[in-house]
Parts: sequence; structure tokens; C-alpha cells
Amino acid sequence: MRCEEVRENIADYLAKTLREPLESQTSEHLKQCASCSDEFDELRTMWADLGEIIVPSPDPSKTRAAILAAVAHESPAPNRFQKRRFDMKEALRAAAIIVVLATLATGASLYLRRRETPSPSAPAVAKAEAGHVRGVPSAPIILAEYGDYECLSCDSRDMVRRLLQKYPDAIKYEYHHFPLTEIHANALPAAMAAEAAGDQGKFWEMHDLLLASHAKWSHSPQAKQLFSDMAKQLGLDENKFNHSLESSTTEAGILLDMKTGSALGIKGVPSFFMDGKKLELGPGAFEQVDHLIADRLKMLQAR
Amino acid sequence: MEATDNDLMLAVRYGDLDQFGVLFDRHHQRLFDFFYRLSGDSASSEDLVQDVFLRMFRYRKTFDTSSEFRGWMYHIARTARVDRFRSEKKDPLLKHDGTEKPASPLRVVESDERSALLQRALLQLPPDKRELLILARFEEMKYEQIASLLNVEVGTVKVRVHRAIAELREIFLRISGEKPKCAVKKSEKILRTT
Repeated sequence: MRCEEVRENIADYLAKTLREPLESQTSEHLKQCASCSDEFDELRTMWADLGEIIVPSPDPSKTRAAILAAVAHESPAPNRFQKRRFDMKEALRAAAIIVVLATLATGASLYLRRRETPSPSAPAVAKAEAGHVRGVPSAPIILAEYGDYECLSCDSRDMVRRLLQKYPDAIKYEYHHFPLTEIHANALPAAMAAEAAGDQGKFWEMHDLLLASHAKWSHSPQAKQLFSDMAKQLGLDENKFNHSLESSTTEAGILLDMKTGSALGIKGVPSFFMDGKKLELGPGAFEQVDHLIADRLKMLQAR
Repeated sequence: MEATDNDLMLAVRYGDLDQFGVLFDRHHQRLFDFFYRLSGDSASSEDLVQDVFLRMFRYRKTFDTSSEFRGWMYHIARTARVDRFRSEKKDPLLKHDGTEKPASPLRVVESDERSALLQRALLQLPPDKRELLILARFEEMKYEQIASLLNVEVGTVKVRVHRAIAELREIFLRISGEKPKCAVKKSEKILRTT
């Protein structure tokens, strides 16, 4: 190795990031070449000496308090419905914990058979709890759907649109994933595609597109490629989308939705819940939900 | 297993705002160190730490699964610093005049004084080299990450790190009055024995 090459490697050598065989070659050169060795010794001493700069450790409590105050300012304000919403959230969290513990105890789960399954991470938990929302986030009534994009009956877009038009301030509609992976091979990748689009702020655009183009991808062996094409169509960053599409974090969030759904007693899709209570809907679902919302609003207003 | 920074920031992005306190506890001192080493000014460094965390919170929706928290944080930190001193029309972090008088070599014995001299030497380094050296030496950032942050080639970062540490050494020797080498240089030793 020549002296010029050693100089090129000095930054890596200082930071101990030089890889083999360059590290051995550089070390060997430094043993042989007194000039390079002197220069390197001087720089290494300076590099080490920099660590002697004493940095104060200010009390972070005031800064911390200011930041947490800003965070609290953006948290939802308490209102008369907050307690009920909190209970729903707690119920979902408890259900998820119970299922996770049960899964750990038995060492097996319906969904864990597919392949090595990631643990639900903090964002996965947060996303699964929150679902994806249409309507007013602080609305008094929560209508939650657990759906599967590959299920033909799961296209509730028209019903939800009509309900949100009729009750613009009263409903918060949440969508949660419940892909039936045993019978729908593309349902989980489709849910991941929706989440991957959500990572770039276009969950609902992909959600609508998946439901609208169900026939095109539902039985396709190249479903993922079709999802990438759809992402392109929506103007998403394709690389980011494909990364999210394969991400264990994305998958963990969906699996947590599924586990929570199972804990809530879901047997099929679509399944709807109003303020945590499962709805048994048949034909004419819009009219049934409309009626239930009207009753629920009357009850809330009477309190 | 402890949640990664990325996991926590994604949780914040998706509404689990409590996790932001965990990120503050993990990184406030690191950010303070970064600003303090750049400026030697404790008060402005504290203000900047607060500014950076508020910005990270405000811009949380821009953080996604393809982001890397450390790089994102330093990107915001650099922007916050530039914005702050642009509004004040001067940047105390960027001053360097190279006019420091040499200190007595006797003063270099105490570690606090040595620390102060090193800090002074660092402050006399041109700002771009100072920042680069701090990122490479103290912030546990790989050269690839620094290159991405500064929007330059990795090779350029390495060359600049080499030049920056060499220049810092020159400045330090000048202001400390220290002789270039206390021990006999290996090259001299070899020359004498040959």
C-alpha cells in the first residue's frame, strides 16, 4: 500500500471503521513507514484529545417541561365523551395484551404459522389502536370496521360515505385490518399496501383504489407488483412504498389489528362495532346503522 | 426489547405522544453536546435543544418508516441553528478569527484548562470543518450518514475529516504554545539509528 492510499484511509482508521483487508494493510504500512506513522500518531492523539473537552450537563427539567407542555397542548382536549372513548381504547389495549399473552403461552397462533412473525412495536400498537379515521376525530360516536380487502362484501365505502354525509359531526369511522389469510392469499399484502401508502399520507387513496380494483389483483400471483403500480398511480415514492410493503413494522401493525379483532370476537368480515359494541348487520346495512346512530345520538344528548 | 428511536418516533407520528418524552430523555444531552461543542455557549445550546424537539414534534408527520431518526434529528438541528442565527444576523457558532494569543505552556497541565484550550482550538476551526469533526468524532455517526446529512460524497467526508483534524492540531499547538512533539519522532529515531 502506498502512502497516498494510507492517507485516504486515515479518517476511517481514526474512526475504527476501516474494513479488512484495508485495516491490516494500513496497519502494516504504518509499521513500515515512519513518516506516515508519525503523522498518524499525531492525528490519533488529537482525535483522542478531543474527548477531553468538558461539556456541561444542564438541568433538562425546564426544557422537558416546555416540550411536554407543547405535546399536551396538541393532545385531544377532555370533553364529555372522552371517558367513554378512553374506555374503548383501554378495552382494545387489554384485549390485545390478553391475546399476545395467550399467544406467548401457547406458543402458537393462527397467524404465526405463516412465517417468522415480528413482535408488535410501539408504532404498530399505536397504529392498530388508532385505526385509520374518516370523519371528525373528536366525534361522539365511533363506528369501527374490521375488513379484508380481498373480501367482496367488504366494500363499505358507499355506506360509510352516506353515513358521514348524514352525520358529518357525529361519526368517527375507523378502519382496522382483518385479512383472512387462510382463504385470501392476497389479503395481507393488500393490507400492507394500504399501510405502506399510509406511511406517505395516502392510506385512504390506496384503500379506495384497492377496493375499486379488487377484481384486478385479488387472484393475481403478481399482486405486489400491481400494488407498486397502484402506488405509482397515486404519485407515491415507489422505493419508499416497496420498503414499507415488505417492512416487518407494517406487518406487525396489521397482525395486532387481527389479534385485537379476534379478541373482540370477530368471526367474519366485514365486522362493525359502534362504540365498542358489535353490530349484527344484514341486508340493508345503511338503514340499520343509520337507525342505530340516530338512537345513540338521542341517548347521548339526553345525558 | 427496548424500542428503537425509529419505533418511538413512528409511535409519536401515529398519535402515541407520550413516547416523545422518552425520545427527549434519550437525546437531549446528545443534542446539547452537539450545539455546545459548536459554540461553547451553554445558554444558546439549551435554547436550540428546545427548538429542535419542538420542531421534531411539529414535523412528526414527515417521519416515516424509511427515515432514520438520528439523521433526521441532526437535519432538523442544523436547520434550527441556521434559522436562529439568520434571524439574529450573526452566528456565534460560526465565529473563528484565528487571532488567539498563545497561552503559556505551563497552563496546559490541568485537565480543565486543557479542555478549555481544546474547545478554543475547536472554535477557531472553520465552521464547516468544525461541524464535520464534531459529527464524526462525537455523534457516533457513520461517514455514510454524515455524507447523507451534508449532501456530499462519502469520500469527500473522509478527506475533509482528515484535513479538519490536521488543521485542528495546528491550531491547538499554536494557541497552547505546545511543542509539536514531546517524544522523538519515529522517523527521527530511525534516521539516527541508520
